[in-house]
Amino acid sequence: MRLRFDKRQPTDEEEETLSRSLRDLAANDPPPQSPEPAYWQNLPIRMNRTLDEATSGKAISLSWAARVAIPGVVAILSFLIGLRYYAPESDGSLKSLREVTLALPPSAVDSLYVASLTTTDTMLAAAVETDILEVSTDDVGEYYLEHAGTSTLVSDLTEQELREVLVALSSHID
Amino acid sequence: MEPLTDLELVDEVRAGNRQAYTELMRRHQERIYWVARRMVGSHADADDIVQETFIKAFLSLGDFRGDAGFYTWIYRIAVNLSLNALRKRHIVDYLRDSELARMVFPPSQENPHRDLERKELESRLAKAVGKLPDKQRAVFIMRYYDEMSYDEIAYVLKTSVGGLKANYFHALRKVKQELKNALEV
Repeated sequence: MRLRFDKRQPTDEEEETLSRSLRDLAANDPPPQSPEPAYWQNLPIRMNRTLDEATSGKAISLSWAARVAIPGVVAILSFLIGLRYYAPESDGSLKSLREVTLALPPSAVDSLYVASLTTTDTMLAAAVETDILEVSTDDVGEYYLEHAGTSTLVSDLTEQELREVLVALSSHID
Repeated sequence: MEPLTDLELVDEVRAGNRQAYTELMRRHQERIYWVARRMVGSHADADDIVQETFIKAFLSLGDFRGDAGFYTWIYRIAVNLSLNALRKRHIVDYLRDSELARMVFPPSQENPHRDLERKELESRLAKAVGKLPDKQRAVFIMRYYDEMSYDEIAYVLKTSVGGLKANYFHALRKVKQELKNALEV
């Protein structure tokens, strides 16, 4: 790399002189070959054809897909994936679960016990906290689907959520 | 009857008159072709760029505010597309020359037709201009061939006027030297 120390702006005259000397030098150089006249006549026709294709329904739908649909789907998928894997755990769901559990009518609480494979309707409240832990989370999930509405539906209860339900249930029975 | 001005034709196109756009294309296609041709060197590439320029201009006519003339506006589109084409070509050339590319793509799969055409059509001056760095080449073409003002060049290249004059002067010197060398051979 060469360093240039001359930072002076060239004058208009210098530019003109250099430009003229280049034009003189290039005067005998044959100009690049120009396309045939037919090319210029056909060019607008070809461009119009391409424009028709570009503005046709198919192209619009493709452009719509590229600009709207695909980014939209990607955004929704990213949101869902983020929700599934990266959403910070909060106790909001536990609170609502607990609230719903506590708000369940006694008959519904009974039916939960009856539905459970490992509990009996004669089980004492004191035993609930230990034995009821064996209740299947699927059973509880299905139960909530039927009785608690979709807003608190938990299809796969975590161990912690299940524990919360059981504590709430036991306090309900007490 | 007076022919419609570019801006009047643009208004016609916006009102749905496609024939007006055909008139705009006819009016400017040749000058746009030559700026593209001087930038990229080959007829085939220039042809692609001309078409792309007018299609892009048509589709984004809503963005044209009329602060520059229609011709300067599409000229800017053409220069940008040419610079993009050159950038792609540099990448392809680099990859083609790499050892890995020679292993993956044997020479028979290259496109010798287009390369040959590119070389055949170039004059000695065009070859000398082709040796300039891309942006300097754009400045040279706009000033030397199209005799644009530095303000217009600054608009097209989205740059400030300062430095363009020195850049062009430097380009003039380099091209002159290259041409001299070619003529002496």
